Amino acid sequence: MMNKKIVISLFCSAIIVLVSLYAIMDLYLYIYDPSWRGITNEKHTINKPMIFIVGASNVYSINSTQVEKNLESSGIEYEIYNLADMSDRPSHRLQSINHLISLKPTMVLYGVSITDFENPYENVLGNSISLESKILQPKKFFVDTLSYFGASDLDFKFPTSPKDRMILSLRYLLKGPEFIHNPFINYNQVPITNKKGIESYREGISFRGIDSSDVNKEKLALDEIIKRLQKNNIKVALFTPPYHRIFFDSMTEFDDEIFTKSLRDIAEQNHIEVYFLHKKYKDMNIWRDPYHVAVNSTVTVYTDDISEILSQEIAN
Amino acid sequence: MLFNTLDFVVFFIIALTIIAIIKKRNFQHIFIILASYFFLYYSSSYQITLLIFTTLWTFYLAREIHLTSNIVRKKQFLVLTLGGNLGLLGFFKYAGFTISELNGMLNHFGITNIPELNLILPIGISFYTFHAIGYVIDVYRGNTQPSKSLKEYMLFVTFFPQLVAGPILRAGQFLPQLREKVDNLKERTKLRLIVIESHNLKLGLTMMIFGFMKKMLFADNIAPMVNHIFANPVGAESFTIILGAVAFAVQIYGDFSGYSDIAIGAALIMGFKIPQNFNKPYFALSPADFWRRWHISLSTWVRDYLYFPLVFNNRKSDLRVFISLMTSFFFLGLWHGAGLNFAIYGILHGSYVSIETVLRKHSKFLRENTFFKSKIGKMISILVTQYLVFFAFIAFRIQDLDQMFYTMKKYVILDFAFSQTLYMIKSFELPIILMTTFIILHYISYKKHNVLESIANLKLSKWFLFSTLCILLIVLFYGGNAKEFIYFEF
Repeated sequence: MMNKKIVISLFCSAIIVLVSLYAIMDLYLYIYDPSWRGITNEKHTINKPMIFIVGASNVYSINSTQVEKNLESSGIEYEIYNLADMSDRPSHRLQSINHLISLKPTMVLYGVSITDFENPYENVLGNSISLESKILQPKKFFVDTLSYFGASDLDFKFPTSPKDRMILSLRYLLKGPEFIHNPFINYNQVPITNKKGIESYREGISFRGIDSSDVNKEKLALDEIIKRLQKNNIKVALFTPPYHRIFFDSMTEFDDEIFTKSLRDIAEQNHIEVYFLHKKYKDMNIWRDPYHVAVNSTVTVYTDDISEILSQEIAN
Repeated sequence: MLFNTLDFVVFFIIALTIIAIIKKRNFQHIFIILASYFFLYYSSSYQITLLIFTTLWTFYLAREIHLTSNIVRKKQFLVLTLGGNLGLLGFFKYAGFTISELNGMLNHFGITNIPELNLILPIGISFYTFHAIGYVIDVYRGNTQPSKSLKEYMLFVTFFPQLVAGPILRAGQFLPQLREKVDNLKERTKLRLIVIESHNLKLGLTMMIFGFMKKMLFADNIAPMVNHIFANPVGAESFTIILGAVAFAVQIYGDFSGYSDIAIGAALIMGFKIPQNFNKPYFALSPADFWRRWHISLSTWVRDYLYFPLVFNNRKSDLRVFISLMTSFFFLGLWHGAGLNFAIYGILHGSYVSIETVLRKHSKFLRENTFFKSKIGKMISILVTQYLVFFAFIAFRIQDLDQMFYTMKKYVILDFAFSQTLYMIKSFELPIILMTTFIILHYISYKKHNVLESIANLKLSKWFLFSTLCILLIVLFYGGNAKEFIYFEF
C-alpha cells in the first residue's frame, strides 16, 4: 500500500515537472514583446513598422540588424526582428501565432524548411536497418523504435537545452533579450566549418522523404498561419532556408520537386510569394554545419538575399 | 547505458515492474542477471563477451582453488585466474598506451614503429575485473566461501547498478545478500525473495534523486567552466587555476559520488545494500583520511589486495612502508587510465600518504598535540589537505605534461593577478553559483549526519514536495545532452 503511494507521488512529481518544463520551454514565445528591455529598464518605444522573420534555427543566421541597414540605405525604414526558434515548425508556431499577431507586425517573412514537410517516423513503412545492425547497435535500435512510436514528438517539443531556455527566459524577464533583434537564439559568432568538417556530418544525415499527403499537419498549419496573419492585415511571404550539398545527397530530386510544388500550391492559394533559397548556397563555403549557415561577419550573402526579398515585398 | 538518460529511466521502471511481478525467487534472480547483461550490451554491444569470459573464467577457476587442497595447485590456479583477468584489462586498457610510448622511444633509435592497435576501451572493464580479482583472492585466502552457483556469481559480477562504474563490490558483502536463512532446510539458506519494501523504496529513490542532482545539476553545469580553464591553461593566472582546480574538485565529486548514489539507491530499492563510496571527502583532515573518504571501495580494494601483501609483516620498516605505499598509489593512479598524468596523480598521493604515515609514526607532536584536535587546528588541517588534494587533481585533469607543469607551478607560486579571474567569475555566473551552493550543501551534510535518511523519513506529502522540487531543478537546468560520467572512461 505504502509502495503504491510512493509510486503515485513520484508519478505526480513527474507530471508536475513535465508540465512546468513544457510551459517554460515555450514561455518566451508567449510573452515576447519587442519593446521589452527588462524589469529594471524602461520600455523601448517602437516608432517604425516592424517586420518579423520567422522559422527554425536555419533562419537565425540572418542578421536582422544588417537587413535593417540594407533597407535603410534604400530609404526603407523598418524595425526587423529575427524570431527564429530552435526546431520550430509551423504546427509549433501556430500555437503562439495569436501572440505574434497581437504585436502588430506589418509583415511576416516565414522560412519554411524542407524538413518541415518530412515524413514523420510513423509514416515510414518497414525498417531499413538490417538485423545485424540492430544486434550491434542496440541503443540506436531502441531510439529508432521509440521514435517510431511517437517519441520524435518529444524530441521536437524539447529540442534543445532546457537550461538554455530557462536562462533565456529569466534573462529576458530581468534584463530583456540579450540580442534584441535575435531574441530567441544566442546570436554569437561562430567559425565557418571547413570542407572536411562538414563532410564529417554526412553519416549522421538521413532524410525520410517528403510527406506529400493532403493531411500533412505541417502544411495545414502553415496554411492556417498564413490565413490568420492575412486576416489581421499582416502581409506574408515565404522563403526556403538553405542547406549544404551533403543534405541534398540524402534526398531524391523527386522529394525536392514535391516540396517545391507543395509550397508553390500553398503560396498560390493564398496569393503570396515564395522565394526558393534552399539550394542557392549549397556549394559555398559559408556553413557551420549542413543545416546552418555560420553566424559570421564574413558571411553576408544570406542576409543580403533576405534584404532583397524584403525590399521586393515592400515595393509590391 | 548511462544513468542520466531517459533510456535508463525506462529500463529501470520496466526492470522493477517485472521483478515485482515475478513471484518465484529463482526467476527473479535470473531476470536481474539478464537485465544486467542487457544494461551493458545496450551501450557496449559485442564487448559484452569480455564480461561473460571474465565471469566464467573466474567462477570455475575459483571453484578449483577452493576444492583443491594442494597449495601449489591452488597457487597455480590463482596465477591463472589473475593472469586471465589482468591480461584482458592490460591488453584493452594499457596496450595502446604502451605501444605509443614504445614507438616514441624506438623513434629515437630509428627503429620502425609498432602498429597502433586503436582499441576501444570496453565500458566497465576496470570495475568488473576488480570484482572478479577480489573474489578469487578472497576464495584463495579462505576469507569467502565460493559462490554456491554460477547464477549467484553472475549476479555478483554483473549486478547492473554497479556494473560499469562501481562501487567495487566485495563478494563477502554481496553474495550473502542473495540468500536468506531458513532453519528447517538442509542447506540452511535459500535464494532470497526480492521484495520492494517501502522504506527501501523511499530511501533508494531519495538517494537516486540526490545522485541525479549531483551529476546533472552540479557536475554537468560546472563542467563548462572547468573545460574552459583547462582547455589551454598556459597563460592563465594563479587564481584562475585555483578556481579551476576547486571547480574540478566539485565537478568530479558531483559526477562520481552522484553515480555512486544512483547505483546504491537503485540497488537498495531491490533490497541490496551496497556500501557507501564517499564520505564527505573534502572535510578530510589528512591525505590518508582523504582516502578513507574518497572512492572508498577502490582505496580499500588496493589496501587489501595490493598494499597489505606488499608491506607483509614488516610495517616497522619505514622503507618497506614507503615503497609499498608508493607502489600501491602508483597502480591506483594508473587504474584510472593509461596516461602519465594518472601515474603522476598516483605518485603525488603516494607521496602525501607515505610522508604523513612516516611523520606520524615518528613525531609525537603530530600525534598528540591538542592543537590539531581544536576547531582551528581541524580547519587548518582540512584546508592544507584540500590544497594538496586539489593540486593532485591538476594531474588528473590535464593530460598534456607541459600544460600540467605550468598549471602546477601557477597553483603553487601565486602571481597575485586578478583581472582574468574576475572576468571568469563574471562569464560563468551559473557554475559559480552552483559551486558555492554545492560547498554550502557539502558543509551541511558534514555537520548534519544522515541527511538522506532524514529526508527519506519525511511525511509522504513533504517528501513529495521535496522530490518534485529536486527533479524540477534537475530538469530545468539540464543541458540537453546526457554527459558521460567521468569514471565511465575508466
